[in-house]
Amino acid sequence: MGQGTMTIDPTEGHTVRAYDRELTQLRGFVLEMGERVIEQTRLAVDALIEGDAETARRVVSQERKIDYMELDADDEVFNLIAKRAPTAIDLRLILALSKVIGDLERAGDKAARVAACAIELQTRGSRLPEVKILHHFRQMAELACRMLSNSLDALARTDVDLALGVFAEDRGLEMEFDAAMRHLITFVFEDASLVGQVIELVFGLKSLERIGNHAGNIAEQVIYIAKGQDVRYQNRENLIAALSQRRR
Amino acid sequence: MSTTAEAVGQAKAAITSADLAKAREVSATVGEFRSPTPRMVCRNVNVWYADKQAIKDVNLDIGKNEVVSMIGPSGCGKSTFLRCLNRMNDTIAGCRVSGTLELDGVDIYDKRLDVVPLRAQVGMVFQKPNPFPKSIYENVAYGPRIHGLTNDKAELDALVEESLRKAGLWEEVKDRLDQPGTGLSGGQQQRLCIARTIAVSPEVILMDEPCSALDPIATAKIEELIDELRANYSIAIVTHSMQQAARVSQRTAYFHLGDLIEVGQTDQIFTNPRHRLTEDYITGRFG
Repeated sequence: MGQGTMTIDPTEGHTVRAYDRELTQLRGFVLEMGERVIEQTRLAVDALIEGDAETARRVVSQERKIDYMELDADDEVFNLIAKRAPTAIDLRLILALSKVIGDLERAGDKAARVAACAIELQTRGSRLPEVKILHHFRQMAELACRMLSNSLDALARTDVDLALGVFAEDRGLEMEFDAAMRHLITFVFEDASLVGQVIELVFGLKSLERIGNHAGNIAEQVIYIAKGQDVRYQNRENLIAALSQRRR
Repeated sequence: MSTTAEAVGQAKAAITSADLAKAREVSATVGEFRSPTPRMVCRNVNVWYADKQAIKDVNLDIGKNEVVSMIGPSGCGKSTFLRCLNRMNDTIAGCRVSGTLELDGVDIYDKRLDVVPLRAQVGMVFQKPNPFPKSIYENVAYGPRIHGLTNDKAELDALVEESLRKAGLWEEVKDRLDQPGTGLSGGQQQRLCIARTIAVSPEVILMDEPCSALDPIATAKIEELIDELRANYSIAIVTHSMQQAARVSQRTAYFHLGDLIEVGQTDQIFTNPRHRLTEDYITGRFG
């Protein structure tokens, strides 16, 4: 057994080594999909901040690749279930990966939505209400990408500690979103003609918040794999307290 | 995201002999071995073949109207334990059994107890179908006749029909009851053996890998039958097929090197086993 909350690597140790390879391959593919989503999110936010419509358009077109990855990964899940009749941790891993695939695909859509926001602002030739608002985008993108990256690391290592750390960042993302909303509302009060841009920006920020939420969902699946405990729809603070207590 | 790739590389947890040794030190079974409605109660059961201990302090109940499956690698003691339940081990020279085994509160190892009626109460179906070299009718009628369960031919005919119906075989053999049982297909022979067991009104049916010699269709028929039989009997089944255990039983017991490692609801055992050895076995990580 590893250190701390690290459990066994669910992709290892089968007598039939091809099974190990298939599980490793599927998980690797899902991680690769996740890395692509992070990349897309970063590019989209950069494009928005820098007013780079070309990069934004590339992000939108690349979104289809993530959709195709979802189809391929689903196929692999289907084949594994049919061929290996998985049980226990293998079954939990495969079911969890299947859910993670769905979360990543939706997170990919949200990254494309941020890019669409960049394109919209650019093509309208809209001036941004205030450069400071971009700071919120930067902050939220950092947080969302960190959460996603950590949830994927947690998945790669079946590391409950790291997964709980993703939950702990939820609040920060929420606070940043609320602060950005307050900021944007003041623009509308000051100049009603900005309402179109502000709505577009709200969509962009909301998309980043959703990416963070998907990271949280992925972290929940890591706990399911490691502990066999379905922690969806539970109070995250209680969860952190409960699972941390158990570790001590 | 190089950290992800590194993490994959770092995540290693091979099963070591130290893990096994540690698990062996813990003799207490993980999970609830008792049944709320026990028919057979087994406590601190130990079995030796000469000097070799095959079963170590096993506690397990077989409840009313339930199927308990026993799984584990070859030589883990699951069949030995099963054979304790109707004293089949008595026939093996050098085999010694200690502990308490009760059927409806009666000690089945009581020296005054006659094992012949016991084996009618606790019937057994074996790995290889073993019909008597007699007619289909006689295979089923033999038990009730020697146990004096019927008074006349009409009653015996009715019992044979009822048993064959319960075993899901009647429609297939009703027109050829006088033909040899050995002439049936493997799956039919196994159902004939189940009919033979049912005919003597057992309370418990023991099955030792009853489908290992059968094709998937015959296996499916036996599994369907097991589910139907559960309404009237308690069933303990030893199987090497994990999927079969998952499909047919309500509780599953995992044996390893003579220890009962874990027992629990079948759903729990196959989705979230609590013991590492159980998980390793059912996920094919050794054995």
